[in-house]
Amino acid sequence: MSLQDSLLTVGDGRLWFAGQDLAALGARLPTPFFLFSGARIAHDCETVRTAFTRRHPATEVFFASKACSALWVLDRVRAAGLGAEVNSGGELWKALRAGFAPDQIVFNGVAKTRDELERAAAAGIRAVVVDSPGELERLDAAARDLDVRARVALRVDVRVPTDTHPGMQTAHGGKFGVDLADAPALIARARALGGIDVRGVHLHVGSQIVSVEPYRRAVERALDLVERVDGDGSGAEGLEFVDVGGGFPVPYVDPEAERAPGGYFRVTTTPDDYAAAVCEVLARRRPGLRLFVEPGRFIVSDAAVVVTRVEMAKTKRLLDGAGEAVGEERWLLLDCGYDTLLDHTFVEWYFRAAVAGRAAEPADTAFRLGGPLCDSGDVYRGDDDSPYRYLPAATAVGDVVVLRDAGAYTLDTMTQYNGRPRAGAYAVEDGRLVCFRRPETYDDLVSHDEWPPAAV
Amino acid sequence: MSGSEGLLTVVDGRLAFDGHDLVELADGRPTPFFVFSGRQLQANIAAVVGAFGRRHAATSVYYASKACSNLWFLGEVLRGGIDIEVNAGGELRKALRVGFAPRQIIFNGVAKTRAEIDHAVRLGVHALMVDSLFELERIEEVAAAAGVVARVAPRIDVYVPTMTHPGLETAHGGKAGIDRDDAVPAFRRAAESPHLQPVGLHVHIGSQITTVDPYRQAVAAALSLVEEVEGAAGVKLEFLDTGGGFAVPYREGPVVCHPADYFCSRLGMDDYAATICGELERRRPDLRLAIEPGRSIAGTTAVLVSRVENEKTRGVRDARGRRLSEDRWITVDAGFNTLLEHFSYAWYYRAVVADRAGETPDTEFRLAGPLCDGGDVYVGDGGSAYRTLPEATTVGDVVAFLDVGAYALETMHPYNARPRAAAYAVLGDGRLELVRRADDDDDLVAHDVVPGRAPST
Repeated sequence: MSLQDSLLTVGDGRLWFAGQDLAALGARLPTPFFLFSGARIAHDCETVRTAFTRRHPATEVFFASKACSALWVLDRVRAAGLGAEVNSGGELWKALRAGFAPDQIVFNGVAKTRDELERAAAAGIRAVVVDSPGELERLDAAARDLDVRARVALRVDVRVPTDTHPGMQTAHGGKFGVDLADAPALIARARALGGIDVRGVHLHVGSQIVSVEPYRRAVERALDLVERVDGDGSGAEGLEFVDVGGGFPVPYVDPEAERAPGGYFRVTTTPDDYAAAVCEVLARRRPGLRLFVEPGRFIVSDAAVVVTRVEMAKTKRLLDGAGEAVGEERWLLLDCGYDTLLDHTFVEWYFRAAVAGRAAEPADTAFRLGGPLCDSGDVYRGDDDSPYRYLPAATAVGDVVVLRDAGAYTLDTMTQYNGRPRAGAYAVEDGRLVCFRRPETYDDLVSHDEWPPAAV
Repeated sequence: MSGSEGLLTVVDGRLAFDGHDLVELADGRPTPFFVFSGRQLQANIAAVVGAFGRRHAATSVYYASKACSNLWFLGEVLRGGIDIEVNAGGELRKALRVGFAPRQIIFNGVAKTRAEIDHAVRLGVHALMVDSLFELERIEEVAAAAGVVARVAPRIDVYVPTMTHPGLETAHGGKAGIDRDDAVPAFRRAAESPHLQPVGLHVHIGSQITTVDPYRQAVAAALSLVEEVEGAAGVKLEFLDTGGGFAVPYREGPVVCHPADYFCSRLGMDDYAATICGELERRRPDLRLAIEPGRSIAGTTAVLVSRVENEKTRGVRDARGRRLSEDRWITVDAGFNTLLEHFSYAWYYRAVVADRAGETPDTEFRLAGPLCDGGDVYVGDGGSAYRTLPEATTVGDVVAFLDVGAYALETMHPYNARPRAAAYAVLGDGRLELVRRADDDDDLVAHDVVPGRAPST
């Protein structure tokens, strides 16, 4: 069973999430909307932290805020004792606003501006993760102008392939970091710069990485580099930490599900497995190094569902290549499309769907499930790599559909495409339902438009 | 020839768009930002109106506002004398806000809510495109409750394959429209209802269609259907709506287009008009033609101005890890947060280094966006992984992406907490004005409520 299953229960033939009757809630609030569980976020933070700290006490966990940077979510993560990883000046600003101390913040990114680097250096954050030689010089100049020394880690590409979606592979010759071979010279250069205080090495193999092996190899390579630049580590100037990034996967399907796509959506590993692999290498080779980890998806994905409504139903013929009808397809169109859940089209992500008011009915009928947008690409991928979702036969317009494990990479990627207002987000906290992101109104669709145009 | 080539000039080695030096603009405001050309927008409208109007005088042009629904842009469309197509209640409100009359509006969409339909029928829009038999009944119920007669045009899937991006193919068994076997029952049902008036038939085969054959097939199929439903349902239709989908030439030319390369188009508006109007004039010259261009109106009207913020040289390795060669990478401050389709549909937008427009583009670079995803890397020229740019390209340079006017502004999002970009427009008199302000830090949290409050019902 996936982690979310204990949150998602069936009662009176309906689905409940964190004690909320989703069919009733879907009828009461404007759909689509997100519903989060504060307790689940806290639980997920604790799962990752204990997995690492019980093996390697000198571990610092930074929530990768790109996964969800709503202030309420950041607040819950901070309350759970994690730090924040930020990827831009905007995320840095949000993290500070949510109450993270500068010492709890690391700053990644492949295109940091001079202004962003200045803000990070001035705040004195835990580490700026430097992505290129040019960025190192740029940060040094910014720090010296401010008369500070910026603590940095160097992001290296450890060249470890993974089996995740190609767009989520981040350490195999892509745009991130510097070549391992170039790293020693860059660290030597950094150590000679007055505005730079080199503290660590950073790597990140990608997102939704379903086996531990890439981590083992990646950490070995990172420690090879540490050895190369620090020798046995007895010197005073030695590196302080290795940051192994995040990427711990979320089980988007039940392991025993009869119909579900395979590949990286099926997950049998837990953070414990990743911690064991990483910490074993560290304990064997470099027990004195501190360890940084940056979970994002794992912290928030299973803490939320999208509640959406069926707005259209139709039956269309299925044609073969010669245009002959070979069957029929039943279609259901929801009010949630890639405007609300970008990754469903964008990277063909699989989000399980269930009909909230028909939880007791067998999900035995094949439907094509689509979103409301004008693009034909706005169609949800099916179960078991087919185009079809299996839902109760009686599913019809007006039914409330729940899309699961929708907490990561969703709130910040919503768009106003097709003139559709962005969705609201609610949370269950201590049994109480609260709104933490207001749904947009039609006025929000034009709030940035200058009409008539404004002189510049 | 790329779509917006006529607006691009090089002055003192720097690229200008509709008379404005892009490097100077970039030095004066935060990047990235869009620059639109009002002149190009009017030219695009005139091209469509002229090409179709010459061949079939009774043509109505409805701008597909999904392509760009910024209020200034819509105001210019209205001024250009054409009508508008909307796809949701939000687009309907925007159209009304800039002054389109209800009779100038048609309403498409595969999931219209009861509230949206209610708004549209009470206004008396020109037509609601009906996407399913279910929706026909829903419109009838809503119209009855409102005490009005709704003008409807069922959208029929005519099953015409195209060679565009699979996500943009819309009349080949996908989610859009009514099965053609259900066309007669749909029209009959509409004809029998006192609250529905069947006024037209709608087809739309997709977007960025680079050959005319699919249009010929679609119009032929649609005209046969018109004949069939008029006979069977005893109605006389006012119009046939053939949708949009006219392609923008995204590739640099002159080039020979491979049929599978849908970024490459040699077609002009006259080609589409000749095909569509030819069929219509031959078989049903009495029918009014409705068309819904979106991309072809908006695509060439804008450039995106971004800045190089990072550069590096990376080893290219074989499977055994041996260094074979090197890649030069440059990272700009616009990624799929600003230009969604560069990643979502691997869309090709030409890139020009604006401050090196006088230098020879002879060096291969990997060109990336600023986001945390490995996929935020621009597709290369001509199907390769590389963009060919001037050798000296470096941090601080200004990179302009061309032909980005369609499907860009409304698909921006604040991912990685990056503010959504501003948009400027060069007005007809040459002045530059702001038509969309950028997000500021406060906008990044404008919708956040902390601590949470109880939801209102």
